[in-house]
Amino acid sequence: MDHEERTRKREARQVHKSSQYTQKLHGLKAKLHHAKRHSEKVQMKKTLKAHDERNVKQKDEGAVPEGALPTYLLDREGQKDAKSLSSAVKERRKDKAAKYSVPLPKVRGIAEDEMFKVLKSGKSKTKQWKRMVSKATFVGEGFTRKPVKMERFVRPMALRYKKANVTHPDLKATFQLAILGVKKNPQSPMYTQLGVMTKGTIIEVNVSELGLVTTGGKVVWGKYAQITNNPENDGCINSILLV
Amino acid sequence: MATRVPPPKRVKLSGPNVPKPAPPPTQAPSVVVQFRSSVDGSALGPAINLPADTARDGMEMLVNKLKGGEDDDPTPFAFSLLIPNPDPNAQSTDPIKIPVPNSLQSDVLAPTPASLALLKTSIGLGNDFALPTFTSEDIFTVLCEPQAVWRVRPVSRCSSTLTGHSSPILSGAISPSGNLAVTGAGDATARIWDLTTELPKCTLVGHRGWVLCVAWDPLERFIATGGHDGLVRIWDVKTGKPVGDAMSGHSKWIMSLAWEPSHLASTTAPRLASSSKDGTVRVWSLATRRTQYTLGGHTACVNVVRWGGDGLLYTASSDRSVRVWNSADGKLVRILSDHAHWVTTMALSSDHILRTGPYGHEGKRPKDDEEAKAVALSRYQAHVATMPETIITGSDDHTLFLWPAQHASAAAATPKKPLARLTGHQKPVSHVAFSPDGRFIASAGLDNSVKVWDGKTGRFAASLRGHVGAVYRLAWSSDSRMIISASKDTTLKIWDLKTHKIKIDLPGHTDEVYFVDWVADKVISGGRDKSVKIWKH
Repeated sequence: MDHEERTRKREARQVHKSSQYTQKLHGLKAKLHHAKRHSEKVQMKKTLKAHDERNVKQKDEGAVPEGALPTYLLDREGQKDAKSLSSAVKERRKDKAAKYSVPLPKVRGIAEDEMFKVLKSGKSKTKQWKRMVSKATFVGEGFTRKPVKMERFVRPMALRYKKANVTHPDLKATFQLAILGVKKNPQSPMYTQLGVMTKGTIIEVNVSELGLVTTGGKVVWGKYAQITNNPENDGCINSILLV
Repeated sequence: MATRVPPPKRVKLSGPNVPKPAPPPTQAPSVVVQFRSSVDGSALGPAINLPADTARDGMEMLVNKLKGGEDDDPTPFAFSLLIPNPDPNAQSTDPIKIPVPNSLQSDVLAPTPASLALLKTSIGLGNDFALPTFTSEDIFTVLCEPQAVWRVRPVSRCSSTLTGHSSPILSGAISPSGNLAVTGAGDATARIWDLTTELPKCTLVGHRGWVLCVAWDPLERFIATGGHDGLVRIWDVKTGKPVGDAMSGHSKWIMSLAWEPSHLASTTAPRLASSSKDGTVRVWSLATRRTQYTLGGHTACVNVVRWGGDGLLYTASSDRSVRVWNSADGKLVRILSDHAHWVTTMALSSDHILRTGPYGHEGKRPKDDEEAKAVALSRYQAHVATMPETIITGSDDHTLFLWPAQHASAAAATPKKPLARLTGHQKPVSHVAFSPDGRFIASAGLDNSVKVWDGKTGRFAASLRGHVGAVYRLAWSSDSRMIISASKDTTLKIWDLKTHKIKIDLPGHTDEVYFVDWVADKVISGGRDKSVKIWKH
């Protein structure tokens, strides 16, 4: 074995030897040795960190951000030009498929036994053709129940709502507006007819107090909103206005 | 059963409130008039038989038709009657010119004694002068003097494209006198350009964020710039050096700047108002370079601030309200809250007069600051006499509101109730501007149209269609005959108010145009393609 080989092996063994020495030390010698070793370690850590930072690219603090916009375009969702063509194509495809963009495009499917509760009727309570709706409903102003003997769907008064909390998406302000009607319930057209309001239902609300005006100068008094909560759990109807 | 008409009401036959029958109208005599041009005395058409009570407007229209009308504006005329001197002892035998401001009937044939006395003193005749009696066969010789009518030549060519900015150009303004222009860009610098030589003058470096708004002092001594970093900086125009350090105080970016009008500001310590996204407006005094007072109260971003000529500050904000403040101490005067969405743009009817200050269209330059202040005051008072200062606000709810005059001296019965709601835009309104004479309002919307409305009543006048992208900004020519609009579709278009059609189309920019300004006969525009274009005739 030659000189280089021997020095290399000795240096490799130094690591183990110094570790053994450090662990076996005790008393004042140990304290002094540990203090020296600690300061060495700190220096070593600093050098390693500096090496790491050399490879990482940092954001320049003095640079101004890209995408300058004038004051009247700030805080508006602008569209980058590269995407405009693809989004135009997508818009056209959506129009053909008659899909309209709403805030909640998909809602959870609700089974019929969750929606209705079976009401037993008859002399010995064996007939089971009556159902009671267990979700929030809207019945109109002049609603009168059908004759009780022939009423198949019971809508309890406690679950009937007249007002909804409607949030304007841009203004971020919420108003309590009267419901004019249920436009579409995504679960089934039968629920739309009954006036059942679940999450995702499109309702029409009276917006005359917002002061919106059409291009012809006429006051807008009805707009659609989509329900965003589960009214049967919360006791109130929260919705977002579809502008 | 068919409804029957109610029986006629019984009419009073006597008593104090009985309506008297109207007196039969007196027929004015017909006279024969020969119009002559005052320049060379030549006859303008044949002698015409006219009723003597033809008003001055009627005679003006007639003379314009006789001259062989062009399609342009009719020239206004001043009329005066020539009669031979009846005084036999007069030195000269020149005919006397009697001015006819209203009509021949009221000024010559049957003048009131007061107007006759006035006439005698103005011409310098003796007390015993009497107008000769006119017969129906006399030919009246009426001299027509055309009044001066000034026009602005439309710009038609891009005279130069100036590069230098390394980021989209966000804002710009031409100086009140029309010689210099400053532009602010997203590279945190503003540059001053000389418009007569079309060369850059100096670069104003100092901001740490995009330069969002620039404003010229009405006396052209300073430029104020507001940045995305929330700082307001003042620069000296002649040297391009900053006047002191940046004025800080706002916590978010500056949305707009407004200088105090030159006829109100003191010449040594003018004031500046800045509005910011943090919902406050600060009024800075240039003497101390500190905030004099802060206008709090808005709960959202204050989009526009304007300093009116009567000592009122107007602010429009994204909390759907417009507030009017007293500029002396910063007290709130009124809140106007009729809009249904963010109020993003606002204009005053006296905008043009306040902005140009002492620099009128005659081209006279005031000698010093005091004279400039006096000239600006006289110009402002002449303008406000015809039309009190009203505001128009445009909003994201696609409508504009025209509000009555807010100043105490205008004393509108219900200053909080808007005069009119201007509907018709199909997308948010991006910019609104009054014409310099206050007769029209132009509004630009994101629905590719520019709409023109009547300035006094808010009635819709015309819709100018032609752009294929959202219209971002517009500017009026100083004679109120043309509008120039800058749009997202990279073109500028000049519209003629008479025909409501495109007069001149100015393509040339390669990307969206973010601002345009028109002073005298020069137009400057800049946008996302980082170049400033100057357009001339």
